[in-house]
Amino acid sequence: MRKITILMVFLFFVGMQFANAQTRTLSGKVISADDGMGIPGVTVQVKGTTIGTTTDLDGMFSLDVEPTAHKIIVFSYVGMSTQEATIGDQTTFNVTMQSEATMIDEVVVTALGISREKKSLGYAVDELDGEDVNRVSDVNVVSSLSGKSAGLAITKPNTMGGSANVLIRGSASLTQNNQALFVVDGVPINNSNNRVAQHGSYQNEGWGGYDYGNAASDINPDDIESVSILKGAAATALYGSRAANGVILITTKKGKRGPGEKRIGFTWNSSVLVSSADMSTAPQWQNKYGGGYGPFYEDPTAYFFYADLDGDGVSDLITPTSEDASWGAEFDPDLQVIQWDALDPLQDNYAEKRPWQAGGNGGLDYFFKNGYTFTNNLTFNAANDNGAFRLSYTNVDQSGILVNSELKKNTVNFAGDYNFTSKLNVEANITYVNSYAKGRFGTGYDGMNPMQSLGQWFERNVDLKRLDEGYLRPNGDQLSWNSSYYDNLSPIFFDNPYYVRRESYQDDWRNRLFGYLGLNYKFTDWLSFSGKAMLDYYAGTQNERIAWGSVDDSYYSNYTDQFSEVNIEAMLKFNKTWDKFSINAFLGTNIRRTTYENIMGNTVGGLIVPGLYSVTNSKSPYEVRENLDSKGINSFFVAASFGWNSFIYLDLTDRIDITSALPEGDDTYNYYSASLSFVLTEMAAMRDLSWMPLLKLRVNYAQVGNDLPAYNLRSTYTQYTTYESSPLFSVHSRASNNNLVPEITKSLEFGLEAHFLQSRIRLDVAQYTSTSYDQLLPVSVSPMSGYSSKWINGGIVENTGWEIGLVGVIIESKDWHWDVGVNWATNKNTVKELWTDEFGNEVLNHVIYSAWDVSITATKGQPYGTIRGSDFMYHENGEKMVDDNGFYLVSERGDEIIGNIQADWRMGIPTTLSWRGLQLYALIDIQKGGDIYSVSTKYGQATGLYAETAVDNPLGNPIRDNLVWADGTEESAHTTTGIPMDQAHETSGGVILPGVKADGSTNNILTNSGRWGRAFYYNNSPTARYVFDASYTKLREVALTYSFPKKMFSKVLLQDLSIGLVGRNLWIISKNVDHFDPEASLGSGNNQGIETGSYPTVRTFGFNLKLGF
Amino acid sequence: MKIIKYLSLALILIIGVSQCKLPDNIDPKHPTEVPYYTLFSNALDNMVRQTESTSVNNNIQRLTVQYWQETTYFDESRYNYQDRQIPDGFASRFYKDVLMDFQEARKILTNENYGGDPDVTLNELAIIDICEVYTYQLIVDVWGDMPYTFALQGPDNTSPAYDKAEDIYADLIKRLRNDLASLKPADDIAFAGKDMMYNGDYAAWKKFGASLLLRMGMRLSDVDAAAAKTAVADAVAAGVFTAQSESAYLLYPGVVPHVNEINDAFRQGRKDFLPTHTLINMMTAMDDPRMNLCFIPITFAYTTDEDGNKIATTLEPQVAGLDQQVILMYADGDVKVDLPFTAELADTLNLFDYHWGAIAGLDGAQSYNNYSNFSDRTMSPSFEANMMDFVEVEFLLAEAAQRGFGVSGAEDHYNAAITASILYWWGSADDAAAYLAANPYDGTNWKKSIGEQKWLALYNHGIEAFSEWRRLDYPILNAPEGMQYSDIPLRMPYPYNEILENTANYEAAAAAIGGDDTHNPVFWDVIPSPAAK
Repeated sequence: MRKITILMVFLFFVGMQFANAQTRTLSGKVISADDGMGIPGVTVQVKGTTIGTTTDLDGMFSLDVEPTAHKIIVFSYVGMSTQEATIGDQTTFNVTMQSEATMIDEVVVTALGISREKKSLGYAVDELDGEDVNRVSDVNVVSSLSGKSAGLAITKPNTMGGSANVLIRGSASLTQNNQALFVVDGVPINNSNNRVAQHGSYQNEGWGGYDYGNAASDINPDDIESVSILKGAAATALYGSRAANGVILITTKKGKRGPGEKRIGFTWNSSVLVSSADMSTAPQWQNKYGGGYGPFYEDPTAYFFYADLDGDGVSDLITPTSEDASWGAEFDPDLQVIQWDALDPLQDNYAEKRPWQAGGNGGLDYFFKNGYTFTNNLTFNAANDNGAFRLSYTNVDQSGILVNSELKKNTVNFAGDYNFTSKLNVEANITYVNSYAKGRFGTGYDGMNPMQSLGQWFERNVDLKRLDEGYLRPNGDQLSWNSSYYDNLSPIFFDNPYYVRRESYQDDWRNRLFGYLGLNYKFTDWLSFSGKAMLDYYAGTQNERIAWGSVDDSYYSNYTDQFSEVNIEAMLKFNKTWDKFSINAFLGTNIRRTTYENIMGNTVGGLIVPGLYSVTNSKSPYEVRENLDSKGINSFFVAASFGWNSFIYLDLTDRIDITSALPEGDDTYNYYSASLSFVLTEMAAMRDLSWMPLLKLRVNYAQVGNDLPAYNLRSTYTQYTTYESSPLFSVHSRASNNNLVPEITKSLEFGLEAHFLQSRIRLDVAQYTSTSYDQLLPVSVSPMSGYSSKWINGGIVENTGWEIGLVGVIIESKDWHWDVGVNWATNKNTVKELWTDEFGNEVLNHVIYSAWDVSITATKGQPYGTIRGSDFMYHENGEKMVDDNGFYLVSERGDEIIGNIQADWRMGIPTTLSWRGLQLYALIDIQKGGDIYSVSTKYGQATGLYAETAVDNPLGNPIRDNLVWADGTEESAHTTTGIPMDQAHETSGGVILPGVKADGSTNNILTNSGRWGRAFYYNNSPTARYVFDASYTKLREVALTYSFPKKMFSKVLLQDLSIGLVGRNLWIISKNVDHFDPEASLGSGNNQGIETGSYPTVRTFGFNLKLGF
Repeated sequence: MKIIKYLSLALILIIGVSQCKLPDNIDPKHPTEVPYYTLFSNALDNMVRQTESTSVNNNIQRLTVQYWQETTYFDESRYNYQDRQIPDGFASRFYKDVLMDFQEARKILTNENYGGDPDVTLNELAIIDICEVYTYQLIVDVWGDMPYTFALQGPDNTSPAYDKAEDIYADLIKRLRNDLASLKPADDIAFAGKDMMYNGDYAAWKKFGASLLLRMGMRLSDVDAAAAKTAVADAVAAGVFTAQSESAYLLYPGVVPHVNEINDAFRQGRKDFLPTHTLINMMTAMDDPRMNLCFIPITFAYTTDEDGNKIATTLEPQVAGLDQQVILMYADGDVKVDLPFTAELADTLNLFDYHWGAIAGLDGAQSYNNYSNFSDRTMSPSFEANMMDFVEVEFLLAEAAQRGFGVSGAEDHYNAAITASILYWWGSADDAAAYLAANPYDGTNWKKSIGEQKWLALYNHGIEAFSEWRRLDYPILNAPEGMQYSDIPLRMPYPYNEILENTANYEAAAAAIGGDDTHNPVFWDVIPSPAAK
């Protein structure tokens, strides 16, 4: 085995020759001041170079240096104070490192990849190491950040490969991108979510389509060394017009320089995860009534179709298959009914009768399967004195919780650098990702989303196992539960969900390449130059299908896109210290060019040949649409950090962007920041406070921007499908504007960092206010103007909040360690101002998106994301009022404010408990407040599918039973008249809706709830009935890992071995909604707050193994 | 010195960046200029499509006037405009997709650099104007006061003020007169063959314009008889439709997406609509030959009990108090019988077909298979859309004659209208004669006579039928279950987004008509319905 490893590494090095200069070998041992034991893994480096090594298991090291050029060696180790030693003539160095300075001298990565001592920063930065995001990994690295940093809000839909929404410190922009910028090793990574507008509106508006994931999910968690979260504008100002939403900086693992015998390394990480649906977040079905809308059909009870199908001369009861609700007959095992699957004359079970019962086989949970994720990562590491490289390959093979869903990803990452001379270092970091997905989950209110029927419109008598097994007729046609009639088996509203999953699947692939080539040249110790060429490129295809014989026309579309972003960056860096004064400055430039090109072809009017998925296989002339967006920005930037005596630091930055998206002459914008850091514990008076080793105050101010997408200054015409020989063009529905400027965000932040008790308690508090002006708004306008929207600058949004990070090491001993962290953040968002129209009338409300009678809006004086619709009428005692018949009274206006999507606060509580090599880690993720509107609940209740529509009333009778007056008179099943409890017979059905009557007394009116259109009907209810509190407390991550003691392997090749049990979303500790996940979303973007056809939370549990050689 | 050299090199690199050219900010894939006729074609297509639309998202007038009823989701049949924001869809289509594109085409044609043949251009401008008048007339008819003078001004005025409906009508009539005067022979057809309705034939458009003037004039008959009379005279003088073949039809290619709206609604297997009992009962009562041409009857089938005995079906009046009849159709002829129709009688006869309508405005679901369905012809993807036809012109002339507006022969026009309608539906001349014999013109109760027959003849043209039902107050429809007759809308509510997007003007407009309410009639509807108490 060893020989093979060496051979493989040798092959990698063929052709590489290393020059040897005149050298001397230094050696020694590094021990810990705490216990006198050797510390393994300490970095020993020649100062000012990349030459170095790390200590071995016993803390020993050996390093070759050129004594003429190298004067000082530096010993550093995370959690210990860095030490320096002068080389001189010495060859043996025994060094004792102190651990009490933990975190004080922490180095973090800041904007443009500049590493800085954290204490010198005048703004908030959170740094997570790779382990933090990868311990319980999600295929989408973005969702692994949830709960790990104060001020970071992540939401992710429960679809396989779906896109995660990342907000840092709230939404600043009303309509433009609010997503944080992802930067990997200095390379900005496109994180857009490209959705095909199949039905004319977008997937994240909830009208169907697939969530193709956010592009940052291509980042491989296994390759991550650390993640820096730059929250405020001051931290990000150097990114200019992209800085407004915060930046997530990811540093990938690099080749590690090791001591002689560890210069070559090989690791294998493997994990197997099993995912399953958390049914507590799925629609809760009732089990008492079958399909139908009420007594509207053919048999004497009017609950069934009625025909003699078995030819015995007697009419048979047949399920009303053309309906898609569950207000049908009460289940009764003695009732023999011909069901949807027994209507096919081609099959043996034609006219077979079965007892009238709830669909068996476990109900909805039958639909969700176990999904599996296999992840394998192989890494080679090799180094010598002048260079190092790391090559990693990761394979992810995932199947989702729905049938016929899979996601495969192959990632190859290469990182290497080499010192050609002591002054010139060249590096390269390239990642190639190939991904393929099949059967992504349909979303929104659309037939390709099985949850539209299963969660909203369904007949409870249908057995999912039979649906699964019987979705095809012998002739290859679909057989749905929702046939048009007993003698017409074409589906009327809904396809068989298994037909959808197996036949109408989508697939997509993407090849992506990102990375950079860079060189660094040191003119002197204090002046260097760096140049970098960065690329992010991807090309992919998305194919969508609707199979022949579906409710919708059969369909195929092919969307092929290609994106590239090139950045060329050059920087001059200056770094010098004079006694107590230090300057760290740089001057640089960047040119950015982005191109996004796509072409979509789709069939129209159905496929000619069933099963042939080709654009040209189109009944009507097929459609093709092309887009090509190009945009460029030239930038200059300068930054300087002045330090005095390690006590006070002042940072100043300035960046100028010249953009192609704005009118020439008005295309140049300036972004700047200033921040101050006072390390009070460096003052003489406070220097030696043993109980408080660090106290730091920081303050900063910045102004950053948010640019405009290309091509919005000039209107174009929209083309529609040619009418015979007449081509059709229309004026664009959005009026352009030639006078737009970028959005500007100004922010002011204060912060405090303090360490107590030998840094065992660490506190970080930030308070910020950021205000965004000149919002770029495509505002909706009256269509009587000839347009539906127009671009303007206007609007002011303020975000102000507090972030508190607290980490406490509760137990720290030789064998035991226990720490608990809390990160808590509250963000108060206020829409301070919208805009005024041409006549000076102030606009008070802007609709972000809407679904039927509910809209998510920005309203002046309210937080971004007010939910509007009709409200209950409230009695002065605050209770919901009902009318004389017991129905809810509905507000006159349909645009009342009935909720807000913004959470009050969020909190993450990570904790780690370890004993020797055994470690238990858990993360609790909490959101308090925030509302969500549930389309599923609206329809699931209206169709009688949900459990609450089949309970008993206070009289102990089923609420669906007919109302009966005290004298025994029974109201018809169709009545809208309610009966007060005191006038009702003891056998009366009917539901009492919670609320009060007009006089304020508790509602006691039994209301008909036996059919569609009554007490559970949305048109008898205010919109507010479906607004729910989205608070939750979730046990987000759990990991139990065991690292075998290294001494076990001292005689074998193996160096590291750890095994772990991990779980994700294992337990929802609390929530306030019944039928869905309170985190439900349609994907990333500003359209949040409406749940429609969402999937249950995916619970993941698995095993991983790490081997290091 | 070496350092200076390298440093200069680095600085030059940095400065060099500022010289890098930025890409163009011009969309290379979408045009900023298009031929004017493509805008006209698009506007025309949308005008027709919205007028004929069956979509519950933008046009429910077939439901409002009780031609159709929804099967399961009955909200719109019960006049719920809000849940689907129907007025918003209606207004957006007409203003943004129709009027805006007509206006854009006109802008190109009237640009001083446009070099087309002046005679052809004049005809094209007149045709555009007729279409705009047609569109605005429908807008005013359904809402009343709406933006007109200040509409379509783009980003310069995104909060257009509303005009008084009668002012808009007066201006539209004026524009129509000008258009009729300016349509003249020219060397070439208009719109380069891209006019899908009349293929650029100025004379055909002139007839349509004149017929439209007749319609608009008659609309004013109860509020301004003098103006109505003049308009009728001018229309007749200019030359209204004289044959069904001159009617304003759009013949759909029948290829998706350019298919008839009814086909579009049913094409994907949905079964959302049914003919109503209001319509079927009236056709039954009048022995209307069109019933069988527009609708497919259902077949009477016995159900049997557990002992195999035939049991009665539901052939009894669906709504209490209505003494209905039903026409039973056999191979050897039809029999009209009173309801309830007993099982005993059924038992003595063989199977038969009959027409049965869904209950209009019922607060409940109705099974598609229990009622008459739409005929193959109306479901065909290429079934033509009808913007205005000869039948309607003849009814207008009948009424004009009755009202003494300078036209003679009310009964003749009435007969001509009905005959043309029956022939249009592929009935025979004999059918028409028999029908007229059974349903002769009644000059003493002409509003009922014309109102009912016109409503039948306007079948499938929801918007126009909605207007004429309000103006003529006939036929008497059925109040939906749990509602009053007066709850049947007399206008459509204003677009709901106007409350947010055009607040001040909306509020002023709503206040001017006593509230944005479906009970407040538009200006020409001054006579209350005899059924609305």
